Amino acid sequence: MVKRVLLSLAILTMLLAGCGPAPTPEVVEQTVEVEVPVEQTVQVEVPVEQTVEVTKIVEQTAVPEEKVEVTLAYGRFINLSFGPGPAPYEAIRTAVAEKYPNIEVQLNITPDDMGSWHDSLAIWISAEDPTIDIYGMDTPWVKEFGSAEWAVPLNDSIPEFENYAESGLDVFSYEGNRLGVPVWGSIQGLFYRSDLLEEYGFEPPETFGDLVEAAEAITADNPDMSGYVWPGGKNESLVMIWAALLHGFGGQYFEDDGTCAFNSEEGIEAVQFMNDVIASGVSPREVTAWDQEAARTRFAEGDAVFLQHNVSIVTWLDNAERSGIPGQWGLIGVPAQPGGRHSGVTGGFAFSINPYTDNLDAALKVMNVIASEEVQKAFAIAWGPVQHYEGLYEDPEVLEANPDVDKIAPVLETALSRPPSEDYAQVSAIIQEEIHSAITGIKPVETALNDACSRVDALD
Amino acid sequence: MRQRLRLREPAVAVLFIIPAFIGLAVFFYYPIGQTMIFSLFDLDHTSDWLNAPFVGLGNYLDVMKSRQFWLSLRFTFLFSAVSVFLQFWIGLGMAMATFAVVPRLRGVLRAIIIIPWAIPQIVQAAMWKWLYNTDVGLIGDLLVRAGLVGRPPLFLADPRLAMGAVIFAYVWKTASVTSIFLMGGLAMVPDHLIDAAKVDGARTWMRFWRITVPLIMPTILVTLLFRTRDALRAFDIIYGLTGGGPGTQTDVLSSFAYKFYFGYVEYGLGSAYALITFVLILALSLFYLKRIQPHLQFRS
Repeated sequence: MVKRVLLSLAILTMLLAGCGPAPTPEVVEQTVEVEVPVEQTVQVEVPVEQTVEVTKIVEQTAVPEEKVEVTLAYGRFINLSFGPGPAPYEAIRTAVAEKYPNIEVQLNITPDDMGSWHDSLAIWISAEDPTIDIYGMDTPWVKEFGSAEWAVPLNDSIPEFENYAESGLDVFSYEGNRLGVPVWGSIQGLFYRSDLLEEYGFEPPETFGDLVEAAEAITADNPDMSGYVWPGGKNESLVMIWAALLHGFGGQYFEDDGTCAFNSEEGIEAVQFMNDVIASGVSPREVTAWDQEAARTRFAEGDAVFLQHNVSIVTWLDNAERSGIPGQWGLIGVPAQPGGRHSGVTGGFAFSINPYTDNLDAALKVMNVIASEEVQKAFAIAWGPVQHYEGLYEDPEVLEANPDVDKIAPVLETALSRPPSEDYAQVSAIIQEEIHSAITGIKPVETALNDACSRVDALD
Repeated sequence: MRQRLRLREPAVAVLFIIPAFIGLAVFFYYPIGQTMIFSLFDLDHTSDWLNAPFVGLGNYLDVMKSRQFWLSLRFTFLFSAVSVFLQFWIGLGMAMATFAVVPRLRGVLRAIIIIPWAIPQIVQAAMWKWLYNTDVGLIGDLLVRAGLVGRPPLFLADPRLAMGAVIFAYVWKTASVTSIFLMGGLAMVPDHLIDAAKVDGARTWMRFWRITVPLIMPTILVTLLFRTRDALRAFDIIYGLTGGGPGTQTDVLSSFAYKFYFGYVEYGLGSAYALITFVLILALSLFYLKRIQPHLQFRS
């Protein structure tokens, strides 16, 4: 490079020398040192880090999200619809498939009997089994499951909770943690044959005495009918019947100091009433073997005057295909004696998340879908009241599917929960055993209730 | 020349036993060991015994203090005694009937006899629950039609009937199992002895008592041992039919373990109930074996 520069200079010099006036030929020999500034472009390879924005157009095939299965554990009723809409399970699957195509909801059917249902969940969760991601929780289990940390708190995970009635969410809360998305709630009431009461000149009964009087008068002329039917078999329904009667006679579950109050004077009167209606024939002796289905079948077929049952059957009592008494029935709160309170024991179900699930994210997504208005509306149409999503029962479609929903309103005021206890499973078993012993004549009423209280007070 | 590995007979026997022993260890001894450990701790809604309070024999004391436990013990013994008595005589009758019919009907009769045995107990419980149903049950309806009762009995809710109903349903299945056991014993009775007795003029009853029974006595004793043990442990059909009701009338020992384990999720107490039941049955079985040992000789 240097050589090239010098050569260029030489040529330039010669050219310049050649262009000027011819000098006087005078030869001077002189050595001149000339400093010539040289501009030199030197190419140096220097590594430079440079960020280059490149727009790259790539034709790419979308990679599908990994398929996830979320398993729901619930009783067979989730596959049934009592209204014009699809069964709730179908509604959940459809809604989840639309919003999260990679999530598939599977169903694991739990036993019908609530005790067996509870036992199944207890086995799975206590064994930390992740098979079930979401399960159905009954209202009396909340305290037990909450204290055992068997449900994932959902407080910050379900934005839709803002659209729910607080009271509905509180039922499935434990120490401030929301443990479930409620899907259905119910309350006990007294169904009666409005046509027969009118025919015989009776008003819907306010007290148990009124009930017995009307039942006896009507069945005297209709001996094939039963006066007052209720599920008195040894199962959870018996606890609900007993609880309503206990409070109806002015009793309560516990004293202020927490000791058992089942065996108070009022408590003894309540169970004695159960015995008396069986002994007198006002209630058929079969009630001591009945579950809810047997009791409501007797009433729906037109063979009973009064039925104590949860209000869910209003969805089909006017359906001539299923009921023998369309338009011939009425609903009021369970009667109460003077000094007692009209009490409708509440029931209901929510979906909760198994704390040992392997698919927490997917389970939360499914729960958010279940909590949505779309799915809650599906429950309202398929199963009827009550759902706690606000405004649901102003929807024309829901009202069309539940024309008798206004009949439930007066009963809602009588809401009563079952005995609150972290050992509810044991308390329920004790009540079932002792009350059933009393109404089947194995033990005198007072002995049975004293035994019940001894056993309940002995629990930790 | 290759040397062949020769094992002595005891070593061969041990090799054959090892798989069975592993199975026993995993499916039998391990759960028993775990149950023993659980029974010493207060395990409420958890099986994490390492972090649970140690209560020693506290759970066992709670069991002993439980009035329901003693009542259920009484029913368990009553249930076992009556059901074993009934299933033995019915089973023996059915077994003898299979030898009394013509040979070409023997197979058919035996197939009919073992049908109840093939039905799982919990399925059987559901079946009998419908048969006993007051409103739509077949048995109640037949009794009313026959004029024996005015209305269908409350088989499962009437305290006077529930025990009998449960025993009857249980015997219906177990009599077929008993008959299978006894068929094996009866098959070993030599025909020539019976024929000789006939020639000597011995009547049927005498032939049965003096020849058949002594010859099949070892089979009878072993059958009774197994049937008694199973009756003491009975749970599925009783729980499926009555849930221990009416009240607690048909509660058996096994149902306590179930209730405390799966209903109340109290593994400590449930384990104590289970172990007490286990020890009781083991003690009875050992006592029984000791008494029948001298009789366990097959006479040729």
